[in-house]
Amino acid sequence: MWHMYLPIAGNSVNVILIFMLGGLVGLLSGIFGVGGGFLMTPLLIMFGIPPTVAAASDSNQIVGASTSGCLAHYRLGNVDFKMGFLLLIGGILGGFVGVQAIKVLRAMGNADFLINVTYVLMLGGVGSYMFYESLQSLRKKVPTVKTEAPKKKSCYTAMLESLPFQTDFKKSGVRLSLLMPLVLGVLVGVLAAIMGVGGGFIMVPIMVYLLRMPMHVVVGTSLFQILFTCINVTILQSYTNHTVDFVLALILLVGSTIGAQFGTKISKKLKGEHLKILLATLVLAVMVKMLFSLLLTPDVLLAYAGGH
Amino acid sequence: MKKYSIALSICFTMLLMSCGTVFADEDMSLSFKPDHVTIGTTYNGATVELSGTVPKGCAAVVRVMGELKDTKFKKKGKVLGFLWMNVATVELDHIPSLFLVATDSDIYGGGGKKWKDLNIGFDSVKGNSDTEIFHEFLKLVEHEEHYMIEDGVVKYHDAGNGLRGFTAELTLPSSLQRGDYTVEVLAVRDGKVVGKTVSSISAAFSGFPKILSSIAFGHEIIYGISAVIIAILAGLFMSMVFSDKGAAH
Repeated sequence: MWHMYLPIAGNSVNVILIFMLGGLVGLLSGIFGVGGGFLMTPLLIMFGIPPTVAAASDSNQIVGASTSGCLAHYRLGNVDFKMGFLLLIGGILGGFVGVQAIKVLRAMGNADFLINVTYVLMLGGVGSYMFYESLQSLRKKVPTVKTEAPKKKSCYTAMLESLPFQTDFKKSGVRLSLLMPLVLGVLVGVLAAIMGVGGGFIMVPIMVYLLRMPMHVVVGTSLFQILFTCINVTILQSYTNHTVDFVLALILLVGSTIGAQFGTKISKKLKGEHLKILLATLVLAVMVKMLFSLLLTPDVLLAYAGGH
Repeated sequence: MKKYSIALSICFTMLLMSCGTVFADEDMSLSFKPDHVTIGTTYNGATVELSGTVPKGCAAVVRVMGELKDTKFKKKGKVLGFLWMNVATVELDHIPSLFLVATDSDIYGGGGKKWKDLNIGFDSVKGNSDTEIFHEFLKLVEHEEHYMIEDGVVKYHDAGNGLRGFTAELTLPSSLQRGDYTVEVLAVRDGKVVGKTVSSISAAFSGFPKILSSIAFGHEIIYGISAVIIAILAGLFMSMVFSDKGAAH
């Protein structure tokens, strides 16, 4: 009972279990503005879905989840469309560069090694920094007396101000060069293509620390950008690899859209610093899991070729 | 002279019988139900009931095998002495996609020498494959329940006319693929296969899985765009539902 055969995945699954998985990941998506691909795909593989089908179908469900999440954040005034479009353009360009880079790496062999090491280093670096920074912020008491002298500009701030095409991003409350989101979008696009994920968990820290956007706007804008990335991936995967299992995606997205709504409510109640420290913990947990998979002897030394 | 020829015929027949290699086709039979597996929306594995006859004194081993395929795998190995990564691509040629075996406990005996000497288990499809790679392959497919030996599921009864009747049940996995599967019964006596009868069972999609796979594999662009549109609509619908309840405000 409650089992359904998925023709593209070629396996029967428990509908309730898949629904709950979708709900859990949707919840995280709504809270943190990350697509959840880096969590959902390994979970689906654990439940017998082939890796390539898991990754592609997950992109399809993220389309639904991020539509829902993005709309909820839009109603709350948390989406900076101007910033989102610029990051998206950069992301598409970077994605193209990243796909070409992967082709070259695969031809050279050991691409998987590089992908996994990149994962561990990126997740470890980003997660550790976010965790440390958030912890410092939480430990800070309310400032006693404002007697300090005007802060000296950091090199990074000076660099930001010296760039051409300065413009106001009203929703985010920052003034930046148009080049910044474009270039950073390219960087995230390259990494996302190499790592095979939507890039939310890289994009969020970049928006917070490099674009200096407020956390709540970051979440909505990130979901907006992820929506377009995953539309692109779903159509490409359906056409080239036949790996999008629509039924699987539909069950996941019903769960995840419900989860995303609850996530958005939770996100509103949490402070920015709390959000950051929770995301940092999540990123670090995934990093540790990946590190173990690199270091511990696998149970089976073979895996079907075609997915990773 | 006639006496001699009769004696010679009897001796020749006994010699053949002692070799244990000749049985008339009518000595062995096999039937199963269902004879066609329908993979519909609610498919979650299927049980096939098999029955038939083998010559008296023989044991029956039932095997269900998928089509032979050349399959590529990624092999993991250590890099820099401590990191486990995919280090090579290996291929196994002419390996069945599915291999299910039903035996009686006497023959199988926990996979002991008697069973190994018969060479009708998984090793019988190893071919020239590297032993270590094949061993890892078995770990993978046994975990997926695509290769399974169900020990002790073959039951016998007297079928009369010098025949031994058997019945068995085999469970097809929930991850069964479309295609034709060979079903065979091997008659085993004195540690040798002395007879074999072969049939086939087909598995095909029906209902929603059939419609969905035909669109996914025949109209890819339409399938991809539809998947995106429905996902967006589902997302918007869920937002509306929650919005009405004031969840998003």
